[in-house]
Amino acid sequence: MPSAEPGWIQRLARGRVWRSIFRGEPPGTARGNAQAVFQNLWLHFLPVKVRPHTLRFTYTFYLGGIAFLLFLVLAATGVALMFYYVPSVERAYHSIKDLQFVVSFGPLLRNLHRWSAHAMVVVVVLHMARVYYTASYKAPREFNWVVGVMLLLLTLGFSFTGMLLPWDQAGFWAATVGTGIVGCLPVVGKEVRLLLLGGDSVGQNALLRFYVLHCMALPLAMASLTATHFWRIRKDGGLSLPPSQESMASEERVP
Amino acid sequence: MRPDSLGPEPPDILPRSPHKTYGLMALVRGTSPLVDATPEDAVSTWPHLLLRGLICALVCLSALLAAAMLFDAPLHDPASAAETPDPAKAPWYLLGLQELVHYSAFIGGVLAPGLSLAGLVMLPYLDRSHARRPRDRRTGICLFTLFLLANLVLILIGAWFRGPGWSWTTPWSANTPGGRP
Amino acid sequence: MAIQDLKPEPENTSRRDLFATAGWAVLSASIAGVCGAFVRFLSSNTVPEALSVSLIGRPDEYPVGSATFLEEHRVYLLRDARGFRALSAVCTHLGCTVVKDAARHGFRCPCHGSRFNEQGEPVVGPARRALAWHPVALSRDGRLQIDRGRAIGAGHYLALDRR
Repeated sequence: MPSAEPGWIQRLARGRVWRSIFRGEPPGTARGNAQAVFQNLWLHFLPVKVRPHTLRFTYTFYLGGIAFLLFLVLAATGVALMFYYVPSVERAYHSIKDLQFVVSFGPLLRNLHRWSAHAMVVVVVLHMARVYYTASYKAPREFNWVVGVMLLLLTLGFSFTGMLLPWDQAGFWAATVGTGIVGCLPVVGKEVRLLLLGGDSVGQNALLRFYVLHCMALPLAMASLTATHFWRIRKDGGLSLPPSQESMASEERVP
Repeated sequence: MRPDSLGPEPPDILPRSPHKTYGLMALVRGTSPLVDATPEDAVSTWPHLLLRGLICALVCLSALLAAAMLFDAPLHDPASAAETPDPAKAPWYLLGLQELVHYSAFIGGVLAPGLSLAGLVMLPYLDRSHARRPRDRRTGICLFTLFLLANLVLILIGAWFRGPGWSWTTPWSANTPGGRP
Repeated sequence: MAIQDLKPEPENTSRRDLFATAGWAVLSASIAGVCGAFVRFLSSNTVPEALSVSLIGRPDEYPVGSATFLEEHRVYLLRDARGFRALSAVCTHLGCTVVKDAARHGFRCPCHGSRFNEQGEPVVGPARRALAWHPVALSRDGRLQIDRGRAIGAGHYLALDRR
């Protein structure tokens, strides 16, 4: 590399410590750019090269990526909120009040969590609509559409379980009515309702169950299904192409 | 040396270095995305895709932060089994369901969402045509748009046109609750 | 060794298939068993419940023609010429708490707009079943008691003038 005086970034990138963390060439060269992706645990599911079409904002509106970003925001703010929230009928409401009026940055984190949750529902639905309108659910991507529908359900499940946690009137009655609807399911309704509530009505058991679902079970399911969703995009041949090019690439699978 | 059975030498798309050895890693059926094109048609993921992703993420995060600073998340009265708020509105994304449930718990709460869900899950297996251009799939696009619109209309009815006791009202009438849906 | 020596005999194949099928079947059954046990674990054997029988005060606290909402019990205690009756305030549609509808002499549900008449029978809306009637009785020391754990048929009044 012909360079007069290497900047501090270059000097850092040449140092022992840097090279012990990031193997391979620094980005900038073709090989460095490739290694930045495939030698990174968090990026290696991405292809090293993408078609320019994939980058067009007006094709995907980056909706899937935004949904994932919102999930990350929700996970981060959610973990933060868990430090103060107590899933008990006596204390839940007051712990939210504390977050609102006593805890530094409490209102901000709670607001971020709430608005990100609303935004996620919108974005996931829009993403589904985009995938439909661009015919991206068609072969060979059928199964990834199914995974996507499950992710939509999980998103709604997060919203429904999260709503009860502040133990306010809105959440309490949403949970009462929601589990009432579950009770109307044929054959298994009563049993599933009992499983969700841990009792006959929305009380302490229900609050604890919704809390465990919201903070453990659903996040685990969401993370594994999201990983599957991303993996399948790659395995099914990347993002769909415009109709004219797609027919050519429809046979192609990345091995 | 190349045996004759492999046919003619393929066109030299990738310049080969004499200092390296090349091995056959896998055989892939089908056409390559790079058919009739040089590799320069694809751009590297870093920086092209990832930087765009980063910018998009920063824009979204700024918007979220602004929303979180401007608008407070609602917190209603403490839960009480004795008193149901009137009207007791579900969060906006469930208002369509609430509107349906108001007609019948089973049809609106189980049958309609269950069928919608089954339809969504099975959609790629039901629609097996390979048509991708919008003009070749008018019926599908109409049906799907209708489905989305129906949901939207139900949500808007629930949000703006339902008042106390889930009776009809208008957003501009006096008995519309001030509470956020 | 020739390649065909490695190929199993036909009988062997079917025996292997049988064992493999049996193995997979046992594995699937074990996994299903664990899932079933987990579901069973989650469905509680005890259900927290408030004491269903409650004393709610003396009869003369409730004048004839009154309709009192007993908040902590989610029950309406009504008294008319025929006596006392206790109606559950839990909507039979999806479990919201119904409110007394003063204008129409009945009850209405704020959630989905069901309406019930004074006897608790559904009049309009999605609710199909009538509000539950709970038994009202007099305790030995002359106080009213209701039992929310039991539902009785409509028309069961506690008439005081008989005593």
